[in-house]
Amino acid sequence: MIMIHQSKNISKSFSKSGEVLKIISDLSLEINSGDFISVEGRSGSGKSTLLLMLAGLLCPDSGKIFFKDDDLYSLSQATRSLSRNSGIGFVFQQFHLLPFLTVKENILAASIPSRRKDAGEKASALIEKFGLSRRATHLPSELSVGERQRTALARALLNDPVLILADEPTGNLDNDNSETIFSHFAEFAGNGGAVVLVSHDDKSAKFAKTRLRLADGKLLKV
Amino acid sequence: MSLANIICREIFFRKTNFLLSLFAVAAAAGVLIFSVLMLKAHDLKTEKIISEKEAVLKGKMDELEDASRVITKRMGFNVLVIPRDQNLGDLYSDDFASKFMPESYAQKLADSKIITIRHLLPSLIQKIKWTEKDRTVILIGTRGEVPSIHLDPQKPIMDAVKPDTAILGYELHRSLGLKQGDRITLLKKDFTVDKCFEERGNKDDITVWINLAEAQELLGKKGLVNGIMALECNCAMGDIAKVRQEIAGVLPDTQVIEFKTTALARAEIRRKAADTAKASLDSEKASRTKLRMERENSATALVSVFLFCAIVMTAFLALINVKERKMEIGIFRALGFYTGQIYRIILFRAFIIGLAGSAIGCILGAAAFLAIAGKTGDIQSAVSIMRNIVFLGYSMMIIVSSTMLIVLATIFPAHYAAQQDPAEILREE
Repeated sequence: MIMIHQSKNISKSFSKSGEVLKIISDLSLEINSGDFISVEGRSGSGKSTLLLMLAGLLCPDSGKIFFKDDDLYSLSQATRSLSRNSGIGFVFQQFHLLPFLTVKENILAASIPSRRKDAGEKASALIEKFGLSRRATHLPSELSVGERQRTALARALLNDPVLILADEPTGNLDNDNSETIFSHFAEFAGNGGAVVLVSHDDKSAKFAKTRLRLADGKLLKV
Repeated sequence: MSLANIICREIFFRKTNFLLSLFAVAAAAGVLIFSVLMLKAHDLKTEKIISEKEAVLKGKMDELEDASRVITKRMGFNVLVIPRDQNLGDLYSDDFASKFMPESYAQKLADSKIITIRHLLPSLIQKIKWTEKDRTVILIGTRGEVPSIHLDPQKPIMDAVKPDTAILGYELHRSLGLKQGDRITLLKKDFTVDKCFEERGNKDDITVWINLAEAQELLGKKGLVNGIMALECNCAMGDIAKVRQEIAGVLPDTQVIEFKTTALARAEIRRKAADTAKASLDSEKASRTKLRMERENSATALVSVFLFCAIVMTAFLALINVKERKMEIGIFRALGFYTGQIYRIILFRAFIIGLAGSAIGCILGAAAFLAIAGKTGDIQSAVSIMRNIVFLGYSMMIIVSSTMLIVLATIFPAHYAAQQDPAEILREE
């Protein structure tokens, strides 16, 4: 097992109407290759905030986050962006596909920062793998929700990341599509990657190796 | 897949915003190139008008010069033959010679074969005190023109004063209340006023003209004169030296001076005509320059307004576009795009708008210019302006500067986009 990601004593607060809300409090988390971690918690408990901090998009108020031995927030913005691009895949509940790009172009968009040369072949392979061959030239508005989420997943996997962060990825999907997505995550983790999944979906329990609950800014084992 | 693909796809996806921006830039660039071309056409038309006018004036000046040469040639030179020992300073101060020479010199000249002089008028002129009237006058004794046997007979330029008569200058007859037919006594001799001159505004106004023989007798200068005028000497080249040389050959103890010459008048006529022509041309140039300035000022005002509106509108549309794409920017950042790439996405889009908009504007502006030129029937000049470097040069300048301005105007929206916090955008979802 190789440690991919490590968070040490991170905290995060937000001010809202003059009131300071401590969302994450002195939290530590170690993510190793092969991990499939499910984070549960009620709405507003800070699950999405935690994912954004792990991804290098939201700087913690205190503590450190290491990704591939780099202190993520001590890197320059450009280097951190590149590190995220090459090592971390993001999947969102709302899919967040670019509306003006086709399925293939959406997947390939992830290759722009790293200028990956074999991106075309890799994208084609992912399209094939996720059953999107007939939809490759379609715009997101022409896809079903399941196809959109598979496209988002394919985009997250394009750069061969070591970590996938998924924020309620099945929130808008039916049971079948949810299962498909979870099984792809499980496969990714089984192949040496790591998945951190924020979900309310009970089915995630079936696939996740580790189940954590975020409450009062801290992670607790379920 | 590249940033350019993303930009182009987005442009096609959000056509309305792009087309509105394009239209704003095209309108400004079109008005600008149209104004430039119209001003250039005005300049060319001015050059044409001035050059045509110059040609016409040159022709007229040549005609005028020929005519004045012909007219003034007939007028010839006026020369005065005076004794050789006459001091010229005294002559110029008194207007008559203080030295005398035989009256027969006039006949000698008339009998010579000199053809460059004509109308010989021997005279005896002296300033005297008209004791009877208690005033100083210039007494001129003249015998009229001495006929020349070698020249074609012409009407005498001046008739002789009849004996016992006098002709009075204006000031004299006016102040003394004299008129034609009155009797006067001058130096104890009686005369009848034969003629009263009109006012000339010079020394002629105090002259008394009498018969030469009577003047010689009254002044005690019998057979003498102090000047022989040769009026309207025929010298085509205007060469006074030639006249002098010929007279010296006949009358070696005399000298010749030029006076009241028409040559100066001839030059003056030419100069005046040239001045008038130049003033006319200058006036035309000034009028065209003023018109151009007025047009330039109007064009500058119009173009400034269009340009300002285009820049504001483009910047505003870019800001709308950026706000509309807030989520996309969050996605880009989540995918690992860095700030510089976000700037590029927004600014390259502005670059395309600037480039394409100004190019379209230049084409439309030129088309409008040609259409107007076609209506005014000046299509040849318009095509010539379009063909030469003016159109291409100005178009390039407008395209480059418009593109730069649009990109600069979009820096704020681009900065706004790049500074968006991706975490905040994604959390807002």
